[in-house]
Amino acid sequence: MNRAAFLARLRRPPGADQRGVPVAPRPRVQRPPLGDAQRLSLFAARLKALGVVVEESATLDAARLAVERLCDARGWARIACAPSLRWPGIRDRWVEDARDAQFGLSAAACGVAGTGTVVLRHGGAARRGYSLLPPVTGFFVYRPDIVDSLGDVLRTLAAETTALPPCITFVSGPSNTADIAGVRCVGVHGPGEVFVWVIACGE
Amino acid sequence: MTGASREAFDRRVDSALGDPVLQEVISSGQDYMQALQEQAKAELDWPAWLDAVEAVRSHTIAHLDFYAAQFADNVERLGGRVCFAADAAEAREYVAALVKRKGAKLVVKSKSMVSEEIGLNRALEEAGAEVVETDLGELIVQLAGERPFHIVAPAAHKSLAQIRDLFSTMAGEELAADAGVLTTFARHVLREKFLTADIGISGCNFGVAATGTVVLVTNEGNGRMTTTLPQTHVVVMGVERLVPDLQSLEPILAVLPWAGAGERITAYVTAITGPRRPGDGDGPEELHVVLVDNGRSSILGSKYEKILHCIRCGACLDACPVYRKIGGHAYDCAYPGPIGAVLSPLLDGLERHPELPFASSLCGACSEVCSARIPLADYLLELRADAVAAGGGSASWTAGFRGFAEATRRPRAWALGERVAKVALRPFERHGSVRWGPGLLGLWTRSRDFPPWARRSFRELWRSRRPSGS
Repeated sequence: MNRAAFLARLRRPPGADQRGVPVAPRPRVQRPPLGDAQRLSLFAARLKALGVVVEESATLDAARLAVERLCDARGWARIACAPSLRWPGIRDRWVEDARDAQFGLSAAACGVAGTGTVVLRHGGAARRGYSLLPPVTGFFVYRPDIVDSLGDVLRTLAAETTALPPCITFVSGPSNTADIAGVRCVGVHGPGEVFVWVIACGE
Repeated sequence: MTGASREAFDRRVDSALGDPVLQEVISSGQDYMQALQEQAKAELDWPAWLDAVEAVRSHTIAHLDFYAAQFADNVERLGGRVCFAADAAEAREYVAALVKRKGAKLVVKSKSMVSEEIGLNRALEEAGAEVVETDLGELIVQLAGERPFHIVAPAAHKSLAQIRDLFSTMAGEELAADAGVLTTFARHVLREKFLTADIGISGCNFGVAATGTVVLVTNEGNGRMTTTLPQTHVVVMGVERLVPDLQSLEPILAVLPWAGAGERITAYVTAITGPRRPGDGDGPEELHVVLVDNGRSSILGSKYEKILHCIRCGACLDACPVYRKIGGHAYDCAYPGPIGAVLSPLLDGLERHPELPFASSLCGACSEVCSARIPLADYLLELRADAVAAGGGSASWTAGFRGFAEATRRPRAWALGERVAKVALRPFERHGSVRWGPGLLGLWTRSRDFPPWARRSFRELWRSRRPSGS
C-alpha cells in the first residue's frame, strides 16, 4: 500500500481532536533526587542484586589494573574492546573481533542508579559486539556519570541536537532466561558474567 | 457462535483441562508472576505510573497518523526503508520478496508477536529460507510445532522433560534434563545461526516517532544478536506501537518489565536508530521497517480504541482465572488470554473467533491489572453483544436470557420461577453444585457449574428480617 493511503487510514474520524502538530504529554512521577553517596550506593546495590560484580576504583589506572588482575586470574588471552580504551599493560591480548574473545570491555556513557543499568553508545569503534559476544563482559563507569533514573537518561538523549547513535544499549545484568521450566539461567545468548568498575574521578 | 467453532473450542479446552502437566505449570507460573508483580506495587507509586502510561498511549493513538508519518520520515532520513503494509499478506510479501532478492538461506528471528499474527515464518520458508526462532521459549514452541502459549513466556506450558526431549531430538543425542545444560546447548546451536544468518527479523516493543528509533526490551540477548550480526535487519511492528518521543518511554519502561516479568528492568533495552553508518565496526548495513495495519485502523475511533493502548506486558494472562485453566492454546490465535480474546476478533473479524469473547468469567481481574488501563472485561461484554447482534448467539441461549430478563421484570413470575427451579434442580445437584442438566441448563453446565438453589431466597430472607408492618 502506498504511504498516503496507509496514513489516511490512521486518521481519526472527523470531529476528533487532531488540530496541528500534537504536543506530547509529559507525565512525570516525582521522585526525590538522590544524594551523591546515596546514588552510588544504590547503583552498586542494584547491580549486585542482578548478579553483577561491582568494584570501585579511584582512578582509570586503578580500574585497568583491576581488569588485568581479573584477566590474569582467569587466564584470558583474548580481550576485545575499542582501540581508544586499550592500554599497553596487556597489549598482546587485545583482539579486534569479539566473536572469539574471552572478555569484552566497554566504556559506559553513564550509569543508572535506580535500575543498576549501564548505558552504552555504539557506533564507530564502539562496537555492539564487545558487550554481547564474549561470555564475560565488563564496563568502566565514571562516578560523576551515574544518574538517578532512566528518565534522566532519556531526557538527556532527547535534548541532543544531533541524530542518536545507531544503537544505544541499556545493560542491566547478565543475559538471562527463565524459559526452560521457569529456572533462571544466565548466559543464554549474551554474557553470563558482568563486571562494573566505578571510577571515582572523571576524565 | 457456530456449532463447529464451539465444538473446536470445547475440544481445545477439554484437552487443556485433561493435561495435568499443563494445569500445574500454568497455576504455579501465574502465582509466581502475581507475587513478583506485587513487589512493584510496593516499590513504585504504581497508580501514578499507570496514569502516565495511559496518558502517553492515549495521546499517541489519538494522533497515530501524525506519529506514523514522523516515524517513517525519520527511519528513511537515517537510511532505513519503510514498508506500509495494509494487511498480513502485504507484510509477508514484502519480507518474502526481500528474502528472495537477497538470496537469503538463513533467517534468525527474535520474538515478534506480529510475525506470529501475520504468519510470517511459513511465507519465508516458502521463499526458500530456513527460519530459526532464537528466543528460547519461541525456539521450544517452534520445535514442538506449536503456537506461543503466553505473550511473554511462549513455552511456559512445557515441562523440563518435554524440553529435554525436544532439544535431544535437535541435538541427535540424549541431553540431560537440566535447565543449565539445555541453555548451554541452545547457546552453542544458536550462536552458529546468528553468525551465519543472512537476515535478522525482530519485533519492536516501541518505535520512537521523533527519532525513528526502534526499541527492544529483552532479557536473553537474542534481540541484540538478531539486530547486530546479520547484514540485513527487518523490523516487523504493529503501527500502533509508537510513542511520540524518548521521554514518553519513561513510564512505559518503568511499568512494562514489572508487569511482564516481575523485574525492575530487563537485562537489555536496545534503541536502534537507523542502519550501520560509515565507520561503524558492526551492525546491519540495511534496515527495513514493516509497519503493519492488518485491522488496526478499523479499531481507531471505535468503542474498542483503547485496545490499541496495549503494551503487551501479559499481566492480564497472569491474572485471568480462565487462562489459568485453559492455557494459551485453547484461544487458537496469535494473542492468547484476555488481550487476545478482545484483540483477535477485532483484528481478524468476530466471525473468525466467535467463541473468544465468551472465554471469560467477566470477573474483571484483567481490567484491574492492565498496565494501560484497558477495560478488557467491558470490551469482552461488548463483543458478546456484537456477536449476538450479528446473529452469532444460539437461539436457545438467546431465548433463555430473554426469558430471564422478562422474569426479573415481573415479581410474581420471578417468585413462581424460584419455586419451580428449587424443586426442578434438586435431582441434578451433586456435591454442592449442579454440573449437568437438560436443555438450557445443559447449555450452561457444559462449561460451568451452576450453584445449587438457595434453600431460602433473598426475598424470603428480607421478609423474615423486616420488622412486621414496615
